[in-house]
Amino acid sequence: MARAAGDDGRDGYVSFVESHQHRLLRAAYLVCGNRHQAEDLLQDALLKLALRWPSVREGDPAAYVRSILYRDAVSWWRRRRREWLSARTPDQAGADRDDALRLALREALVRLPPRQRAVVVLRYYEDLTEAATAEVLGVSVGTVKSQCHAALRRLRELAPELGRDDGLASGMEVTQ
Amino acid sequence: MREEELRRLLTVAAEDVRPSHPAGTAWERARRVRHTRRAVGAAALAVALAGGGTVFALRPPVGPPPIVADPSVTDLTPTHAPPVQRPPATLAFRADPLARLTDPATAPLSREPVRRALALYQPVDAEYRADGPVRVLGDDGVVRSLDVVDLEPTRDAGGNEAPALKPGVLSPDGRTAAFAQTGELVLVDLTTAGVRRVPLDGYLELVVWAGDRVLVGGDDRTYAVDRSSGAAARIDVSAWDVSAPDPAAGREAALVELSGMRDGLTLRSRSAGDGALRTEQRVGQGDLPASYRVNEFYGRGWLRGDRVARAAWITSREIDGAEGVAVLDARTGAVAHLLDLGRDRTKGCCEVLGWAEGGTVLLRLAPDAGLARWDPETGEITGVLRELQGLVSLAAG
Repeated sequence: MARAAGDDGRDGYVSFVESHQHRLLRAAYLVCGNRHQAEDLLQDALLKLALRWPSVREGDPAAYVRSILYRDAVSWWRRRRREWLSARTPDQAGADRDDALRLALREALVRLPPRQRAVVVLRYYEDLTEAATAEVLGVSVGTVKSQCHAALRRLRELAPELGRDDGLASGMEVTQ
Repeated sequence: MREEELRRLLTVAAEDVRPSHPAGTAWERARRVRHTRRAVGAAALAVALAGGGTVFALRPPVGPPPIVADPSVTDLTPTHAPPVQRPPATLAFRADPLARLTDPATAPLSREPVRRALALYQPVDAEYRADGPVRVLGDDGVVRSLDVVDLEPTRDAGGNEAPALKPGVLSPDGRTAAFAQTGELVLVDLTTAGVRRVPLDGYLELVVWAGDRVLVGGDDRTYAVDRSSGAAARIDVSAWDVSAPDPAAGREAALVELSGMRDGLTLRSRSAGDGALRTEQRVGQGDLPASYRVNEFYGRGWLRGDRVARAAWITSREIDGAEGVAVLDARTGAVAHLLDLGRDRTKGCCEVLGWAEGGTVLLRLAPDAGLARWDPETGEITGVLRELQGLVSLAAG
């Protein structure tokens, strides 16, 4: 990223945020299950990015902010009441089968422990490898494997309809 | 379910979520943070050069956006404050013994036990992990390092870790610290540096002092542990929801829980002995203006007389999801006072840390102050400590 004379970095930062914030917000939403809280989580991560922008922008700011976002998502919830674990999302399922599956997945996701949820979103929404997921969360690849396995098993328990043989593949077989 | 199907459903589940903040919002917040940090540094230097100890004010060069006037809201009215209050634009910092709580330790506790501790403090790293030993601020102003026990973070079945030092671990009399650890409660007598371990089953994470007992528990159980004998018994109260009782209320005083969200916010009263449910009522909005309501509590609640103070996410005139602190009437569940802290703060910025003398509430107030005092009856808010980057527990009831 070229650095213009007298540039305090704002333009580059804004350009980066504009091109990444949609996906980051959606990931935050999947991790925390609440739009307001996802916005707050993202804004906090972007604030930290802005404060470190001069040193981060020449490297990989996307990796930096992703790491902040997911680690905050995990630690953040641990510092607070976990009422949200049992809170239902306000959305109602429509008549559409896909709507029902989407809501079933959302509700099952918010019932996973924070780190398991983060692993699922990083692996299957962000499409990261196990090694990259481990790097983002600051844990070992072994932890990612075990957390992912546990998360998928729990998803099967919480939302068995996701695996029914009516348009989806039979069984609950997710390649790990 | 196949891998590609899980990917597709995750994408569909989040596709209608769109950012509401312009891309430059966080940049502007960062600019204000930098200015504030510079102002704090300059103010600290000025105080150090002047000898310190006197009242002074901190005014960031660039403040938050102006707040639209609300006739039902008054900014810092020293008497007869309305139900909804807001912090002043300029926070005055007064000399306070607690201002030393983040000072470096100058002695180990084992060599210099305290007569009474005012606070426990432990720095954290960027990942919110404990970074260095716990520091003990004595009532003599000397900071000790807690060298008689090695504390580990608690770790639940999902692998989620939490630091052992939390608000509530220091007894209100400042003589004992109680830490939840894996398989045990660790009691440290700060006046002798003696350590006592009470083995307990199940996941333990949270500690609340209730008179001469320690309530310790996690997600599925809570124990009441006698401070003197170490005798433990299960009690039917949520370690997450229970408010720290008033130290002056006595052993038989009811335990008060706050739980739920929005229309389901509930205040329960339970017997001190076994936690049996006595009363249950919805949290009412009291005399709050119609545009205000409490949505959800977070952090520990603290009882003082008939009042319970706890941090909350609130709906204000401006937004659903603002930060706030509520004081409720524990007899009726009605909100008596609400501190509206707006939205331009970090999520969960302003945890309540207890009550202090004179009926003031001690709370975090980032970024204005690391620690501040709020008098709900008068609306007065003063700063105690400018920055507080770490874990803290105060000897406050």
